[in-house]
Amino acid sequence: MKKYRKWTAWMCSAMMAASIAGFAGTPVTALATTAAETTAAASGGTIVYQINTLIDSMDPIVANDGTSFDVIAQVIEGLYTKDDKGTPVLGMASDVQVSDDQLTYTFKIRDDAKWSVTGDPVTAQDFVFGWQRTIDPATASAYQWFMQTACIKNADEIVAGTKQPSDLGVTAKDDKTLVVELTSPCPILEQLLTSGCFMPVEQSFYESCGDKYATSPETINCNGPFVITDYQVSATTFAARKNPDYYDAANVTLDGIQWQVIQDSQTAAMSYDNGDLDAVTLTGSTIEQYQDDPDFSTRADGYIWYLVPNLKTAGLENENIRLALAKSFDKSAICTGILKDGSSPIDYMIPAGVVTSPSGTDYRDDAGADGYDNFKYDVAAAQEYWKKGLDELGVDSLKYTLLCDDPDSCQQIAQYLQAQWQTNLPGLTIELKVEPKKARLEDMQKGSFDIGLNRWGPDYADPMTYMDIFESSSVTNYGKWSNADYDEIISSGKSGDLAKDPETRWTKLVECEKMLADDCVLFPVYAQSQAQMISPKVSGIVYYTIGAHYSMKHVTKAE
Amino acid sequence: MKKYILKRLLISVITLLVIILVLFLMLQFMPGSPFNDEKLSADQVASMRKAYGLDKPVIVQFLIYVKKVLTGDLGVSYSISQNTPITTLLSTRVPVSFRMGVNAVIIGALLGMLLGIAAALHHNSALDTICTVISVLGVSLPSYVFGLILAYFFSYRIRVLPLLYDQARVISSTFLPTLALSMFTIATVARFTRSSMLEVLDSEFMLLAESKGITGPALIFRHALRNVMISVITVLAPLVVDLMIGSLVIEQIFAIPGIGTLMVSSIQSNDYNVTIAIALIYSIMYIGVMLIVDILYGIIDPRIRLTKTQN
Repeated sequence: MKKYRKWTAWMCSAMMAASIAGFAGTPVTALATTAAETTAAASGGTIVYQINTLIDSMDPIVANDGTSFDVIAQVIEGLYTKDDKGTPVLGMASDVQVSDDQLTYTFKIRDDAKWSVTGDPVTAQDFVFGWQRTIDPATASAYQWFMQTACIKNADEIVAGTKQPSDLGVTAKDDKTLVVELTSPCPILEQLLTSGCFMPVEQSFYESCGDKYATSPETINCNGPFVITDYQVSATTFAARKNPDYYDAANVTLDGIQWQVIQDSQTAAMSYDNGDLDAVTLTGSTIEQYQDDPDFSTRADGYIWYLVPNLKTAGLENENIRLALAKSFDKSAICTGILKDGSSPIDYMIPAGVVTSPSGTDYRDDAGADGYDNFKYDVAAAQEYWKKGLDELGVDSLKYTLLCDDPDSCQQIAQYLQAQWQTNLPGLTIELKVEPKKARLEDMQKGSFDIGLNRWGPDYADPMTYMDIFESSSVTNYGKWSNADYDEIISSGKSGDLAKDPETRWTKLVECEKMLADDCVLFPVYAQSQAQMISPKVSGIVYYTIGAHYSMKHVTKAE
Repeated sequence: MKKYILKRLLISVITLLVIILVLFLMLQFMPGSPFNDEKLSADQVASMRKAYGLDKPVIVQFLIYVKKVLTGDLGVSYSISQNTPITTLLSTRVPVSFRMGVNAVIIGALLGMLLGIAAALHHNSALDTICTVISVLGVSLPSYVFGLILAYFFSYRIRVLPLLYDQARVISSTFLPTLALSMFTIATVARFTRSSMLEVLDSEFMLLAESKGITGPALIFRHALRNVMISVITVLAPLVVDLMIGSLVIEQIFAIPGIGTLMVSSIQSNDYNVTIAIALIYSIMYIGVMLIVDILYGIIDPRIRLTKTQN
């Protein structure tokens, strides 16, 4: 017995060591250099950039999430692109002529624009095909409605199924001349044309790829500042290099970009410390860990979080009750105590620095400070409104359910609101209902909620991207507030007389936000920010609050 | 035996069909839809449902799906990777999870059995106590805790192994997550091996074998271990499938493109085809592993085969 005991004890330790060393395969000394090697390879002008979600598609026509659009924007360019201030500037188009009635746009496509895989010139026909794919119901693009927002001729009819995609108001007069017809002047057309769903697609290449289109470097045809060199479907790492054939290649300073998908914030932070990454986004507890680091910074991203009261719920139709709810929670405590990521409390709907007027002024400067008292935190006033509201309703208590998404931060905010409301408004009981986002949206769309915590991100740099949420017929008007004057401004601002008069339109849209405040149909909470760490070696990343969130075109990375 | 396997295979096919049908029904009752994006109008949602055939009755969708599956077509993704064939989506991720899972099972089974045997042979000694502590820790602590500890020490403090998954360095970059994944298996296998081994060592046939002059490795491997294997395989079988199907948290910590993350994302975004495809793979593996286990029982212990034949 003793013999085999000794033998097994030896085997045990030997096999443990053997399996660990054998599995590792690579000698430990060699492994020690791997992190350093990665950094060294990246220091020649390649930025390693962390993203926290996977790409849903590299096909610009079907992509439907911010991460995909961010990457696509680095490699595929439309008629317009954005300058460092986020203003649309001509991209693939070298010239544009607009008819007097503003209903016909004639674009000249650049002679020096080329596709990366086929080497073919970018033509007007590529835009016609790309746009027809977007509007084609068979493509199931989530951005069909952009074509309708852009007032492209026949877009509404094609979506309704009464016309064919080939009837869309976009034609190639010749290889380099693209004619776009609108049903109504569209003051935000240039903004919209920078979006993924308006990108060109080379038809012959698309058809030759079949269902493999946009799934590998060989099937991603690029015409932008960078070219995809490494990619596979739902990859966690992928890369691009500078496109030497890009018309503005002389001004692209970076050699390449490597994206690394890391969903865990702690892993991202450790990788950044290791020098494996040049830029990371921080969430949750890592923000607190790193907020004193010199590389730490925050940036607003245009998203707003607000509470929607359902006006069909008994009691919430009462304006005083809504005012009491809107004014009785301290939103700054949410930003500094829960989020800690630079998010800022808002007493309005449109955050500063997102949309500018036709004369170049910021929306918040034009809107001023007056008219937003209803959204300001003031417990004493809230309690007065509350008492008045309860008297009007003839009750002494109310009970509501607060609906929110399942991420930790949403639940913490909901719990905080519950505590604040129940403390500050005697007789109010708040129950929490937590759901995955898709289920929460379905409930809100069906009107099965009392108060919902919702997020909204701008799609284009115009107040309309926020204001049309509350149009009576809008699918996003969850609270079912309805105001004929408001609807008239929105309708006219989209495709009526106001659309032809940008200055008046702007003034009217500023009035719209005050109408929302007057009736207190939402309770603004905060404007979202992103906490990030960017290596001091890297400079020149341009961040946007609309559409694609960044541009790497002018990034430099020191050795 | 052939008849038995054929019968089991037939039952497996029926089980799979029932699983697909139940999944179809469950997904129909799940709140939300892949297309209830906040910015889509009802008309657009209807148009998208039609484009993917989701406007048809569930039973028709089910029959179409089964027909497609039989030809190797698992459909396309609705939202995670829109319009991408599921087979393409899975082709890059399944091998990553499978490879890690198999490695974790091998490490777990080998180390677990060695620990268990060592503990049993040195019963009530310090080694036994150490093995017990490891077993308790391995069973009670979730694998992601080990993952984080390993990542912190080996990738962050002393930096001898990569933290992030790297396709160019698959072996070194999956070593830590594999070890973390295998901890539960090591602990479970060690516990079962130890108790079975103690039982076997006390049995009369071991005394007989020893009295016949059989000692050392021959005694352990030919007589003791063979009996211990039955209980080890029983606990190992379901673990094999669990490990191969991937782990959400471990994948997130080490940025591994496996199917654990994909499955959770697909459920959250109501991407029905992806959810069903992964569940289908899981079911096929589970049924397959159980079948293999039954066959293995027969090989390891002829008495089991004999009993079945007699029955």
